[in-house]
Amino acid sequence: MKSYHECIVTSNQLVAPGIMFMELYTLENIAPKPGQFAMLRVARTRDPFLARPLSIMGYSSHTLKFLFRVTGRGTGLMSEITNGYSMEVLMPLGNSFPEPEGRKVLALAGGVGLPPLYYYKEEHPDETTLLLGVKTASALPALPSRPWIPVTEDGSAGEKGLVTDVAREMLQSGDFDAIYACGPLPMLAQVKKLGAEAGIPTHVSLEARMACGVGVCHGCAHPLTSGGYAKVCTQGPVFEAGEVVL
Amino acid sequence: MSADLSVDLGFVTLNNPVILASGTAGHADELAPYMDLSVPGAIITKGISMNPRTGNPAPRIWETSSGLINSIGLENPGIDAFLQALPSLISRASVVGVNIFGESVSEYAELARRLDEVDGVSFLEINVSCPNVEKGGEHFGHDPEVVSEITRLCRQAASSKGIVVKVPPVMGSMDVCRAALEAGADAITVSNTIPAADVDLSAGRMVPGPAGRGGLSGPAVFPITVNAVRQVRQAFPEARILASGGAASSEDVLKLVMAGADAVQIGTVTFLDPAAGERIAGELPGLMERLGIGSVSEARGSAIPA
Repeated sequence: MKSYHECIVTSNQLVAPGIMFMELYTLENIAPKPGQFAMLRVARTRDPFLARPLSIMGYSSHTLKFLFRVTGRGTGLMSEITNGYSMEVLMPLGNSFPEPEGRKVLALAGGVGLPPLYYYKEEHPDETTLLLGVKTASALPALPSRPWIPVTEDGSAGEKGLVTDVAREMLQSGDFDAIYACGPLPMLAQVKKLGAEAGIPTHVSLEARMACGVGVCHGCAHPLTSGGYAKVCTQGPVFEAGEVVL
Repeated sequence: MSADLSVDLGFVTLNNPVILASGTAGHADELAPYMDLSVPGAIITKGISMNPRTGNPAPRIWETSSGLINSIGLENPGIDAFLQALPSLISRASVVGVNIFGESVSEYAELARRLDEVDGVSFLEINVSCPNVEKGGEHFGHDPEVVSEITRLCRQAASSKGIVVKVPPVMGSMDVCRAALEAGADAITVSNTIPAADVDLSAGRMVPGPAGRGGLSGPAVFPITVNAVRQVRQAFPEARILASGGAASSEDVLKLVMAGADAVQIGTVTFLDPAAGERIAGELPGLMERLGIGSVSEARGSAIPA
């Protein structure tokens, strides 16, 4: 049976203003796939009440990696956690990015949309081109490994502009089989258009406010273009761009 | 000599007093990877209506201190699609109850008639008290005459099933409970979620849901439920009462039984731990033994001051 299990925090560091990089040691042998997420119980008490969903940034040799922005109470408490602290984690949850053999993927990450695409790039290093779009150079996370092409809105590092504009140029001259993206909704709306223009499969990873993370509370609904809603936790978080309202 | 956990509700006997509440256990498949669904005494499915409902836009849920406000909007696939998925739950659970709601009185009766034909459904739980729906929710549940009519029609239409009426928060008014019991309800669920709201400061708007309000659940409401169960038990000594609201442990389950409940629904705690239903039922025998309680039935109402 799948259940919350104890993981030990082995590192929790500020890697950019307001952005934390956390590593946890887990005894579990489950290998998550890029795109899947975990529910993390921040505290032993009921404060905060709900676990927090975070996309899995990496998993190897029993080490789980997460990247998160401090936005509220839960992430604020998480940013203060020190090494040796044990957190309960439920994983892996949700679906994952398709991984057909040899697929050349243009992976577009906006800000803290990085984790699932970072993981995908780690698993498929040669076939994946990863662009990371941020406002300015200081927002680029100071991670040990940085396998991305930086795109900064103010040009302070890498290409200048929006990641979707740089992507459009690369799609025109390059040879890609698919686009995978994760980031703010306005960015994903642009990605949807890019994918339609290029005529290649386009998948986006969504986030949503969650309570249970396993499909029973119906809280994480995202509207579908066909009408009604999908549960981001079980039917996603990865969706074909055309299926979801962006 | 191990404790007797059985609960006689009249229309069925449960193996133990732990019930998975409507709206917290899906249609069954969702929790199967996390727990043995046959362990809880019963499972009540998410509220079903005649026609599918898509539910509300986000935010549907809002975290509070020790609780959650929800405005899901009664999302469900409608009775036809539900009946196709139902056998999967019936094969996994010990006892199955189906929660129903209608947008009109006649819809309640139609749903009851359809479900009367389904073997494996033990009882219907009639939702007249969901705080989220403009039609068919809050208004119905506060009118004892309408509750009486809905109960009576469901009783007639589903003669082979138990009829449980889920009432709005009790808060001093016994008329709705009385109306349901006199109209033939086999049990009352005390109670549905508590009307509540919060403010999203960054959006400058009340939350959750399109109306900026929803139903509060979780440990925050537990003391309200304990008090309400006691009130209903004292007013209706012979009634069967299913407690619902805030129970998150085997201790909480036992407290509600001692306050007057026959059985206890757990809900929000499942969002914190998908295996909560199995864990809580499993912890009950040891707890009762430590407290010297021989059976759930002897504990019912035992804490109410004379």
